[in-house]
Amino acid sequence: MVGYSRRRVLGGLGAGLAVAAWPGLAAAAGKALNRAALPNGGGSIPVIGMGTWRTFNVGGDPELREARTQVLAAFFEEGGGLIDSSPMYGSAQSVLGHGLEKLGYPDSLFAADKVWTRDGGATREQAAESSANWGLERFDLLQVHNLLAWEAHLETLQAMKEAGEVGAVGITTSHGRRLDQFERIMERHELDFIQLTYNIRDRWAEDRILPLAREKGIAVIANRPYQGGSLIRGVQRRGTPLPDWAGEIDCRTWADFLLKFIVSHPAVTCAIPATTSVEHVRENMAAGRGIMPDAAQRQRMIEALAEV
Amino acid sequence: MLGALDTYALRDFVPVTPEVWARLFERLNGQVWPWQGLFLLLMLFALWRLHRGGSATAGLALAACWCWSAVQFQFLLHAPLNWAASLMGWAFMVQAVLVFLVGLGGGWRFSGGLRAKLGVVLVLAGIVVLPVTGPLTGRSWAAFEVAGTAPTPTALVTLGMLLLARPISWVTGVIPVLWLVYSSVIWWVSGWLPGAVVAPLAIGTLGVAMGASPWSRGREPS
Repeated sequence: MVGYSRRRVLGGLGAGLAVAAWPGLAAAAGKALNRAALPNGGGSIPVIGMGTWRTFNVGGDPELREARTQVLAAFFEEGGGLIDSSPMYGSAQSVLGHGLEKLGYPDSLFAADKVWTRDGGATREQAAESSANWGLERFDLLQVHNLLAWEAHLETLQAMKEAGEVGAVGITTSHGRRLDQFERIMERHELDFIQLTYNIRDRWAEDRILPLAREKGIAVIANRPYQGGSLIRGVQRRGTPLPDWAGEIDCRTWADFLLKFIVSHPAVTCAIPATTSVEHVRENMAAGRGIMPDAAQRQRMIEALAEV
Repeated sequence: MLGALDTYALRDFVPVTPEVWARLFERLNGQVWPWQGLFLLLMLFALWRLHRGGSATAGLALAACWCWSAVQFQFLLHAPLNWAASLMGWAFMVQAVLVFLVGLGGGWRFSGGLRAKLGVVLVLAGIVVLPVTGPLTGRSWAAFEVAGTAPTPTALVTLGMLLLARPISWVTGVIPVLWLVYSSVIWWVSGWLPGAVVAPLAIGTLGVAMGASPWSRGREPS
C-alpha cells in the first residue's frame, strides 16, 4: 500500500500566517484540475505538476527567490500538486523550501524528489539532506535519478517505504536514454512511479514503456513536455495558429495543445513543465482543465504539429 | 559526482537560466564592492611589473586575482548553482599557484614581437572590450565584468600576459582556456553572442600566436 500522507516541519501557526500573507491560496481552493489516480489506491494528483530543473536554481539571489515564490503561489492557486526536484538541480531544493515555507506548505503539495549519487550506500543520507532543503520530514515520492546506482538505491528506498519514511518510490530517465534497462527494471521490480521524457515529438515511450506501466499499474510522470522549451518557443516564434478544431478539446493556447496531448495518454499520470513565469504557470495549469483529446484527436494533434 | 556526467547530454550541463547567469555578475559586483577596483589595479600592476621585468611580483599579483575570483565568484556565488563550481574554484586556486610559481621562475618577463601584439589584444579584450560590450548589448551596467574579479576577463588578461612574456609558459593557459570554453557554452545557450564568441576568438588568437614563432622576433628577456 502506498502511503502519501506527509508531516511537515512547519507548524500550524506558521501556516496560518502564510495564508494571511498569500490570500490567493485560500481563495483558489475551489478550482478543479483534472486528476489522475495513483497506484494501489493512493488517491489522485492533478495532471499538471511542476518541474524545477534550471528554473528554481537561483542560489541565494533574494530577488529571484521572491520571484520563484510567486511562481509557486500561482501554481497552488491554480490547484497544483506535484513538484519534482533533485539534488542534481543546484539550489532548486532550498529555493523550493524557501518558497514553500512562505506559502505555509499548501495541503495539495505532492513532494517528489530524487536520489542522485553513485554511492549506493548514501541513499538515506542524501534523502535526509534533500528533505531538510525542502523543509519537509518526508517525501511523497523518491526516485532514482537517471538509474544512477539504481540497484542499491532502489533497495534502500523500498525499505524506507516499508518503514513509512517515504510515500512511494520510482525511477527516472530523460531524453530516451537507457530505455531497455529502464524496461527491465519495470518488469522485475515493484515500482510506484516512473519518470521519463514524453511529449508530442518524443514518443518513443509509447511502444513499450507506457503500455508496460499501464499493465503494472505504475504511475507515469512526463518530463520535458516542451522539449526543454524549444517546442513551445518554436510554434510561438513562428506565430503558428492553433488548428481550427483545437477548441473541441478546450485548447486556447499552444501550452494547452502540447500538455493536453501528454496527459491524455491513458498511461500518463502527470506532466511537469518548468517555468520562471507566473503567467506561464497559469497557462500550463489551464491545460489540465476541461475536455481531453481521445485517441483519434491525439492522432490529429500529431499530424497537425508535423505540418508546422 | 563527477562519475555521473555520463548520464547527461551536453546541453544538460547548463543548470541555470540566462537570467540567473546574467544576474550572477550583478551580485558579484554587489558582493565585492568596492574591492573590484583594488583587484583591477592589481591586474594592471601585474602587467606593469611584467613589462618592467618584475616577474615574481607580476606572478604574485596575478595569483592574488585568481584566488580572489575563486573565492568570490566560484565558491561563494557559483557553487550553490552548480555542483561542479567548487571544482572550478579549486582549479582557479591551482591556477593561482601556477602563475605564482612561473613568476618565481622568471617566466613573467616582457618580450616584443607579433606574439606580444596578440597578447595586447587579449589584455585589451579582457580589461575593456568584453566588459564594455556587456552593457552596450543589453546587459546591465551593474553586471560589468571587472578584470581581477570576474573570471572571464581575468582569464583573457592572463592569456594576454602569457603571450607578452617569453619564454611562454603554456601551462598557465590551460585553466583560463577551459574556463573560457565553459563560459562561452553558457553564454551560447543563454543567447548572448558576444559572450559566446570569447573562447573561439581567444583560442584562435593563441593558435595564431603559436604559429607566429618562426617569423616573429621579440626582445630576449633581460
